[in-house]
Amino acid sequence: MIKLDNVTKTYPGGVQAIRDLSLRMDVGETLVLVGTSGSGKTTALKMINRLVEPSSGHIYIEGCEARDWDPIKLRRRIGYVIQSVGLFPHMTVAENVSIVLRLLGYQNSDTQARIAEVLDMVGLEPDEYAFRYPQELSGGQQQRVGVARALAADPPIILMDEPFGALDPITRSSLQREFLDLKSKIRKTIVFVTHDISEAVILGDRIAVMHSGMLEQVASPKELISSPASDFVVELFSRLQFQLNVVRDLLTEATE
Amino acid sequence: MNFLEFVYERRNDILTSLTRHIWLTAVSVGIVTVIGVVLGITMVRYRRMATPVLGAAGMVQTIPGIALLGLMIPIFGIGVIPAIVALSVYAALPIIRNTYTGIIVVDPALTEAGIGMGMTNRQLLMLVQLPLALPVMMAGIRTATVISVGVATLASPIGAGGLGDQIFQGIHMVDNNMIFAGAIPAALLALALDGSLGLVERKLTPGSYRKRRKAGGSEKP
Repeated sequence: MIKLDNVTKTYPGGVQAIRDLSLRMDVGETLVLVGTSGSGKTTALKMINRLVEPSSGHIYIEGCEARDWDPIKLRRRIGYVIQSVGLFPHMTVAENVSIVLRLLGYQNSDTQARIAEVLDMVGLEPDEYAFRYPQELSGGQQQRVGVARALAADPPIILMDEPFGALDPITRSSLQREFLDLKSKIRKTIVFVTHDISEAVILGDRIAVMHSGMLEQVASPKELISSPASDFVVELFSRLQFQLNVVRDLLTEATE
Repeated sequence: MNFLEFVYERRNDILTSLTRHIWLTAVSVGIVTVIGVVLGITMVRYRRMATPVLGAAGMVQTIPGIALLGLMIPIFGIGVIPAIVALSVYAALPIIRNTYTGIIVVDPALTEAGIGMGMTNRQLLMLVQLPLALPVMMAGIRTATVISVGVATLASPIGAGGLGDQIFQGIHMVDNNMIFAGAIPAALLALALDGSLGLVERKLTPGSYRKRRKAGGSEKP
């Protein structure tokens, strides 16, 4: 379980990225942080693996306060997927995937089975892809490897920072579908950052809506729509509603 | 007496000079590679050092080679030691700069990915930063080597030997054959070292990464 208690983050120069954020992520749930750029969602995510330290407040990870964790040990227990993928270009897919296992001290011979297993999980045929270099893969395949790398050491927590944000819409939606499949199989605590409200609705067990450093509302997708807590939340969904209405009208016309 | 006959007659002298020349170059490049790489890495950790260190190394390079060698005499006397010190100082800039730049230009997303997955500073350096900077660093070592081969010819007047012995003697005796007997091997040595280190540089740029860079990196990430 991850818990943020009255967390604030003020950058040097006075920019307040996070104001008094309290949030809880339960074991095995997928919590989506959604908001515009500058809403503080990525900052909130990076405080969990201590890439960013809070200015005040408390963060608890698996019962211990984050600042009491050795950051190196903590990060090895947290899978991390970023938008720019960040695969190491001088390593093969297999080497990229097994890197955290290597950091944890596993020998090469012990990692082979696990590499094949996680590549399978993300829909990449191990025999075909394990020994390729990242540059030889498409954007979607690279991000699959990115997800496989985060899963390799079987961490209880996975952080995903707009992982599908740079992909074309078709690749994105197929990866979203596979993500749903995958998360029901692995049952991990996943914190997922996106600016795309429809992605949030599709993937999240719960959604935390953030706006200029503050939490507007955290609830299940259904609750957010049925009882929005602020104008911002209403506004967020009204745009989605508008798009859906247009599509629905077209569909009805087409079938009539 | 034509040039080839001259060279054949003096082959032992020339070979001795050439061996000494290679030795001077190798020792000074070896020393400055160790120092330069360590300095470059330290500068990445302590960025404030970068400007003064690069400035100092750059300033040294504006001193004419022969003047720098002359400056060494009051401090280290004459012979091999002052020559090696001067050569090392002279060749430092490309190695320090390329180590520093090579690491600095590594894609920040890769560094963030490394830190985010729990690499220590040392692991980040050894597994990510240095392997990716290696081709750039190698280019610096290559430049330093070529500079050293050139400057080492000037080490003769301070008694360090090398192919400069042939050249300076030839100048004194107004003997073109003798000048060429020093200058041509020095030029060939520079070309040979440049070429072979270029091959090493290519080897260090791993597999498909090399292919992609040659193709101009057209594929979108």
